[in-house]
Amino acid sequence: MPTVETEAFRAQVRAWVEKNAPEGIRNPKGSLDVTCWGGRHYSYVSEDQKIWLDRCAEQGWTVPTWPEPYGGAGLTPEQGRIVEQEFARIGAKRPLDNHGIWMLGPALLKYGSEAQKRHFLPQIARGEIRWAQGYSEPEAGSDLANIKTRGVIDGDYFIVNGSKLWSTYAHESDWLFALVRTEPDASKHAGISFLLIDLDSPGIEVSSYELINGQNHFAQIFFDDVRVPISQVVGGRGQGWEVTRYLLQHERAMIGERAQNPQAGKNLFEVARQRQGDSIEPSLLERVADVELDRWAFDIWLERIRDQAKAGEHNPVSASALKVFGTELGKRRSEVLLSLEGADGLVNESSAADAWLSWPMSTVGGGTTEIQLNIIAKRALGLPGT
Amino acid sequence: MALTQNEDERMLVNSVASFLDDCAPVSTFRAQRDRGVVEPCSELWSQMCELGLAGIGLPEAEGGSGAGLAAACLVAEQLGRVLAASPYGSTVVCVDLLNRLDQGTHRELIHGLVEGHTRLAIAFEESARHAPESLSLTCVSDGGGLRLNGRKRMVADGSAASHYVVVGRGEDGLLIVLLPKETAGLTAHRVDFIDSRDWVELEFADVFVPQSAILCRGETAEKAFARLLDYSRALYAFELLGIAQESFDRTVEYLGQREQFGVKIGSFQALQHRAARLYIALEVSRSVLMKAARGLDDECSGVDALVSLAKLSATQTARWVLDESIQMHGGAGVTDELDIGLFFKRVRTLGELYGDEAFHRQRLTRKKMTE
Repeated sequence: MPTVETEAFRAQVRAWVEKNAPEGIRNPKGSLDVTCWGGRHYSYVSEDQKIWLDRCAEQGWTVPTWPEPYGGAGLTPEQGRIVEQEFARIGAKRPLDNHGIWMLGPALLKYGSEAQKRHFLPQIARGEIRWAQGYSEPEAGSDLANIKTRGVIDGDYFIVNGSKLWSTYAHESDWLFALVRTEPDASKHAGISFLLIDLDSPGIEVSSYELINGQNHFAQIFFDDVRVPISQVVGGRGQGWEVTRYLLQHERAMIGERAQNPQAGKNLFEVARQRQGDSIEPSLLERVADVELDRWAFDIWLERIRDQAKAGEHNPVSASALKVFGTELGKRRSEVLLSLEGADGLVNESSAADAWLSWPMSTVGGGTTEIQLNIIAKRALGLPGT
Repeated sequence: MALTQNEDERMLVNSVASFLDDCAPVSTFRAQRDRGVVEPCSELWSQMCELGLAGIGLPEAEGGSGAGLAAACLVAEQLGRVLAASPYGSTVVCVDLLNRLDQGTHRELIHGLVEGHTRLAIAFEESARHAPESLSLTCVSDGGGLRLNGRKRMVADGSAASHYVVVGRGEDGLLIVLLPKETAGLTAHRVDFIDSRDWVELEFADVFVPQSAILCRGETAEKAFARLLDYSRALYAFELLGIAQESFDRTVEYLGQREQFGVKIGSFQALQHRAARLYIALEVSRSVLMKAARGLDDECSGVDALVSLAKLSATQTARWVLDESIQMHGGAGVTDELDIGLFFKRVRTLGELYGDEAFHRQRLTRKKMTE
């Protein structure tokens, strides 16, 4: 609900944005429409992109809701949303976006020591350090606690050996937050620590690998006797699983609250009309209808979830349910769109082909559909464990 | 308006649910069915009217509860959960129809409906599948009135009705008339549907209808009929949701209790996943239905499409939930003894009423392709 205070704040933000947002970041097009990842190795696509980052960082607006001593502006969530909206209003992307902000930041804020917060958070806020996530391993996908990468004590250091997979943009990142088994005598879950590792450390090898959609955003990381200071454990030794669970729940809650219909895009009825008109096969038209009606229902469902959040009703499995339905719907839609486009859609790098090749990832990454269904069965339905 | 229930609605739902648990659990319907009775129990209907349910959507100034159409839909959901055999659906729709036409003229009738002594049934279907656009009950001018010839099928709550609200087609368009049961030439006979409820078919053989019995005609009738279809679709969608939810809840409970192979069958991942998918479907349907219910109260444009989506969604979800409910109950699921079978049969019937999945998908597709 807009109040006098929030509207006054909005006016302030708007005035600042008008004055400080360089021309080049307003509605950037084509190759300039790129997320600013930041970090030691980042090449800014334009001078304006760097200027925007620096100016926002100075205001604390790359991470508006973080406390000021850590690089934020100490804003309330509502104020943070206002800042985001004012950026979007002039067609500007977020000044900075990476795992440091949406994953490590919340973990450090909750579990980090004061020294860690004061050291690592401002670097994130200024876009100086880009973080990647080191969770999955060849033997640890859905069963994340099955990680084998281990850290053995040697004085003030862990000697880390092992490997990580599915680390988004690790090949372009500076530091890694990783799950490492540091307590060999503890149980599976209690033996894991949340460790911060400099990717420039000797013994680390990072290489990206390609997916069926031609993207190579993911990397594998090999650790060969890598020395990591024990002081870089977050939340205490053996607490890594708790930290990760918090992050995953935080992520899921965010997905639930901020969910957008992931296939914002052409209405397939329109595509069908334009491309086929009356000659469309009835059974294909039926599939078009199924997708578009489910898309409509999904939008309404999102509306209801937002209304529930406003009413203080929190459904802990909403995010899981949304993910299952939304990703399967996305896959179905990309399939039907490709059918409507026919040979035009088979052309490599056409947007229809790209979408179709990318959607299969969505039902696997971020917790597979099967894991989400397990979560719903246990938490919403109270069904017994195996 | 929010797609969550507000405080008043929550209270209403709770009090109706309590009342029904006490006075009309599923066993009440079962007992009636076992006796071969289809007419709704008068005492139950009386009590429901005393609670203000018949007049729930009617403005207070007209003698109703003034709670609105969304509230009426939420009540329908609760009635579904217990398979309450009552003329609720027909009544609230007729109350709405008459009230919007001219409350002055129909005040006594509306009053009678709200109090429970008058019962109306709506007659418009003519073919086996829902086809509101093909009405061929002919209404020909004759002296000071009309002559009706034809047939009506799928008349809900027909036996207990004292009057029928009949939709037909005259020389100058659509007509809606109100006919007493005993009208000469009009015969009603019961049809035994699988849900063991009060279904009737009507035959019109040169039935004379005086001018005074014509409720509306032409454009007014078109609007009234469209509203009748929207409101009915929403109400039955909510009843479907209520049945599905109840069936699902019982099935999940069963999964948590039934043991085979030394474990609870609810620990089997295959069943967990199927149950989780039903949960998602129920969440989506509930959202769509609330949006449609809110749309009815707001009288927003395009509400007819929303209501079509709601009837489609509820029919699809309820059928899926019931199929799975039976399967997951194993052998018990196909016995008459288990209530799930009663839910199953009512869901099938309600699916056909006012358009099934295919009807509404087609309707919405046609709209989208010609927009």
